[in-house]
Amino acid sequence: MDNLGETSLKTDVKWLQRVTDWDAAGVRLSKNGSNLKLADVSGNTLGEFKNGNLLPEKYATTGTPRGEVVNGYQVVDNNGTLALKRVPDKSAYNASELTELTQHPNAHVLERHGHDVTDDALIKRAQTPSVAPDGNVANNPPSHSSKFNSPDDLREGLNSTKPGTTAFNNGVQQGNTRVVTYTSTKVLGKGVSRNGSSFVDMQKVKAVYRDVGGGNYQLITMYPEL
Amino acid sequence: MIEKENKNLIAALHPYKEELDLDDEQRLDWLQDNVEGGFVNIKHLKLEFEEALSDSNFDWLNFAKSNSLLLSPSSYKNQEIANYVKSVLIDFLYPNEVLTKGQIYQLQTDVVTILKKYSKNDGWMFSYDLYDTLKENEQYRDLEYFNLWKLNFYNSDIERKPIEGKYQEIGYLRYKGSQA
Repeated sequence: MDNLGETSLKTDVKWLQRVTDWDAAGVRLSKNGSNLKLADVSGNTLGEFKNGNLLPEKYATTGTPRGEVVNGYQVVDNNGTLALKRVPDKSAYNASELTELTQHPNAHVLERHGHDVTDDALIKRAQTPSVAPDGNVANNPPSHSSKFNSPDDLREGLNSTKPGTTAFNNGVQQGNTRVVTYTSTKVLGKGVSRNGSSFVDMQKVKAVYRDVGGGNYQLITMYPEL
Repeated sequence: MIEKENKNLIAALHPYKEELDLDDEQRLDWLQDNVEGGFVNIKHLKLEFEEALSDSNFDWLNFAKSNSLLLSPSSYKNQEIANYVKSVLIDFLYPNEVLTKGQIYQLQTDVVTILKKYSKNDGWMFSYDLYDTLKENEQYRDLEYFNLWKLNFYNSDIERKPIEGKYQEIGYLRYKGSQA
């Protein structure tokens, strides 16, 4: 734990427990300029604390958890290989909302557009190639890499685009899939344009729903847009 | 050119509209759902697709504009839009012709070899120039341009520089070791 004893971390009990857990898992911490780097015992970078928040370098979607969730990420162990898994903050949503947000197997709303996605994660997604907050890699970023500002903002998007709403009824149907657009009277989120680093406020929401049978529409994705 | 309805082609490309923030899995799932739900007839889709590709007068730009396929369609040449459509549909329609992992690995290796030797423009080689160079090799005589999208630009020896406003084109590629 190179030079960490010289920092304020030496008396921070929460951090000390975190470091203890990570150390037991094989995570090695070191200073990288003004950032704190996490690596495995082989020196492979897992992520870095940048601007006060953890930004992964190595991602996983499964694995045995090691230590607590920090900034929406958790160290996981896959047969001795360590990486960081996106664990979005779901505490603000009730069971019914969580069902709506996650029931479709291809839905990644909270993972990619949740309120706890950091600015650096959004900027990373806006680069080429694009790495989403959950580690999904694409050759191209979306036109804007965006997130909801708060659980209430996400909730407004969900409740204003779901089946039965005006926006849903006005949506564009293509096959079993419906693309819904909603415009709020206030800012609900923010985003950064392709290869950009500055943010713009967003009042519009786009949602994509799929009829999985019998008029049962499930959310595929939902995100703020310009 | 007689305007065709291209109903199946339009429906198949709907998930691939550039304005939608969907990943590859979500797009493919939508396309497959369209097929399984009867909204896209595979046989007719193939016919429409092949006819459009073989028609030298097919107006891909107008097609892209009419169906909101791209964010800035006017930035693209006709053939470039055709290449984009190929990149999202050919492997789905002709799975037996998809490059194997071994073939992609070989392609990556051969591209790196070409890029290592390229010294103009700070090492940035235009994707179509790279493609033309590859096709000088008998092995790649029949290679389709869209297969260059299967190269690994993430955590590999190749870095990509897209053209602003034209992200559905590859743009420029460079060997990472050739920093100016």
